[in-house]
Amino acid sequence: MGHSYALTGNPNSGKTTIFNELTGSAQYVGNWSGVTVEKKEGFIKNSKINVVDLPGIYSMSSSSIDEVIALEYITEENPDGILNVVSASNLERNLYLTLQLMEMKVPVLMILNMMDELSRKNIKLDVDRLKEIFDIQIILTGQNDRKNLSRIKEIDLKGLKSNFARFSYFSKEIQDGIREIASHISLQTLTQYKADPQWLALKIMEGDNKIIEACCAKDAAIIEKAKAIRLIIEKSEGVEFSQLLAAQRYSYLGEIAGQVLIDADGNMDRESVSEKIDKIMTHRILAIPIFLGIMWTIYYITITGLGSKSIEVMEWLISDLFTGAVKALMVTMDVSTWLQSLVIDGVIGGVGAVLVFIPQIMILFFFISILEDSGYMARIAFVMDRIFKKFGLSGKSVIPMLVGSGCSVPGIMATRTLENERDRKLTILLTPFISCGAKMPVYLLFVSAFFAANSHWVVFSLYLLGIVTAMVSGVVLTKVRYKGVESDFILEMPPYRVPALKSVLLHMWDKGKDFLIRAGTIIFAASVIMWFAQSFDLSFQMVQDPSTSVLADFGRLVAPVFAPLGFGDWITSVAFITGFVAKEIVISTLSVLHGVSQGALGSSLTEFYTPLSAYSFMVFVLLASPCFAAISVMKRELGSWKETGFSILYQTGTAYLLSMAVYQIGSLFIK
Amino acid sequence: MTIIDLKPGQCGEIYEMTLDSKIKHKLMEMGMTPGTSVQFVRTAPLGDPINIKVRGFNLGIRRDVAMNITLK
Repeated sequence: MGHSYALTGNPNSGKTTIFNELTGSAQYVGNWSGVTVEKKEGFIKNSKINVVDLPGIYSMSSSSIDEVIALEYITEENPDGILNVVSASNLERNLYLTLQLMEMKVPVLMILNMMDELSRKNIKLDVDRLKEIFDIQIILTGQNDRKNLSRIKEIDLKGLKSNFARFSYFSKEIQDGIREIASHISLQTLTQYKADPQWLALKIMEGDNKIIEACCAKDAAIIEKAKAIRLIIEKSEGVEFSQLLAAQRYSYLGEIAGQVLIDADGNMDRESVSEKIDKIMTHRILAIPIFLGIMWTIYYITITGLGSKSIEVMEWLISDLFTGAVKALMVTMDVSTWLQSLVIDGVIGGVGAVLVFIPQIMILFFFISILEDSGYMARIAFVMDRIFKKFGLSGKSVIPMLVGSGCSVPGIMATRTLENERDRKLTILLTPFISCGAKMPVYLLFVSAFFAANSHWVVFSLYLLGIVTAMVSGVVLTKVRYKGVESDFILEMPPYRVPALKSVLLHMWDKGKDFLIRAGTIIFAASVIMWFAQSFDLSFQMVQDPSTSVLADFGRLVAPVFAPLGFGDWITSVAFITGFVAKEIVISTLSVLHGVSQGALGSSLTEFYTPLSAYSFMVFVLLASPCFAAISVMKRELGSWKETGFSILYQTGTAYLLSMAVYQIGSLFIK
Repeated sequence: MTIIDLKPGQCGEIYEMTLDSKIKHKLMEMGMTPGTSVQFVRTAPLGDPINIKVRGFNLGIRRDVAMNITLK
């Protein structure tokens, strides 16, 4: 049919799982127009229906970035219909969004999800009555029963009209106002800005600046008129207009819920299984030990357990199997030695050093997505808020930071759920201090070479240092840069749910793919450039010894800057600079420049560093400005180069000072 | 009387919220409109925030916000 639908729903309504179920692996990531924020879309299996996954939101106002994205998509891209995921187990609040969609007079198909969760609560839902009220079609689904979803293909939403009595739940004054303003909206506005006039009237009355700017910024008369009506209503009611709308909508939703929800045993507020679990997970004494235990287990499995096994396998695959085969092939083909060196030392050395760690990063994302999808992440935020508040942050900052322990890029993007601008900016700035998956390989390499006996503790100390630096920076920056404003914390704690394996695996694969693509593009290119730069001198003559190459000359130029940190050699300087491209490249650089394979790199490092300078090295890698990818996301989310520049300087400055402190103070004790 | 004065498990009905208009708007859009029943579930392990239940779902809010929500 070639239609395009938008998928909307509340956070925790199961929207993403349904999106994955509908589109399977046939999804792709693009950008929203205007704001370049990740946008997921895909085709419904075996159909030509394109579905765009809008961000999870509670309301269609313009009070957060996610809401603006959703609203703009619907008003400007005019999708053929809206698929509205509604959680049956949380009906009133989910229908609040539905009500607002109906007010827009766009074709809506309701996907009533979590039907099984509702029946576990022993509550029945009169679906026919709900259908009747909204005059739309409803598809029923649940966590363990997705078969109805395939029916979406059979329903043509385009042009579908509903006779829903929109606005009937508003007071007479508001209804009159809507009609009055709607009748004054010019025909020109309506032809240019394709929206329903009455909905537009309501938005103008609300004073939604985003909408006003888009539709009728020049029409001062109507803006003034709408404002006058709003002020009269606000004065007589003594409540802000937008709050009045919310109150009247909810009082209507309360009525609807009363009509459609039938409690089988007359005890709507009975304690659910989820609430029983919460008694333990957020228990006064047990909560924090449980949290630490879970985190420790995750990082233990990722770093030492399963993770180190995966590294061994990958090393064997790449160093032994693949490199050997390529070498043999090139020898039989009689390839010139310089090309052999480029392929083996440059490309396989550089890209291989990074590839080795991809399974490990995927394991970490596997756990992070379980934390998110199970609902436990919200509890971590709840338990930790008190501590984060002390450091000028919100408990909700925990989510970006935990995701950031996998990769700063999605971590920084996860800050969009923080509605307080100050909290959001500060969290974006601090998330890169949390050690990401790409930095882990660097530690593992150095730890195995220098601290084999205490490897866990050394890696642990680095993670801890990252967290402490983030926290202390929170205090400092609150005092210096973000004065006066308090942090916020309003967070829904969704019912615990068993994560859908499909979603978890898809998420893990997505992130693994990101790293794979980086290895194939940016790291591939950097490895080749590095190989050339270390193989030739300034007069383009091939050199025998890399220490006489262009790269070495350049490295030596920069080296004095890093001397106070404990390493004045050119290779380290080059490794740091390439680290800005991607953190994994630090290893590729070391591996290419030392001219050894990933496996032998550790032992050759011991000639260049002392344990102290090795630790100082890791501290610098941990804290210095994040990679290009993270910087560009920071710029996108902060919306200004000034803020981004400040972040980079702040992070790199902190890294430099702390590394220096480690080395200089350490030198006093260790001779 | 405010939400803070409720004992764990106890319910009350929202009368008024004297809060910053952005936070108030957010809470109202999540269903905390005047007249809505609120249950105090528990306090977080470190004493702040608190877990409340409104319209069938659990919500975490800070004490300083809860202190400004008066009940009937």
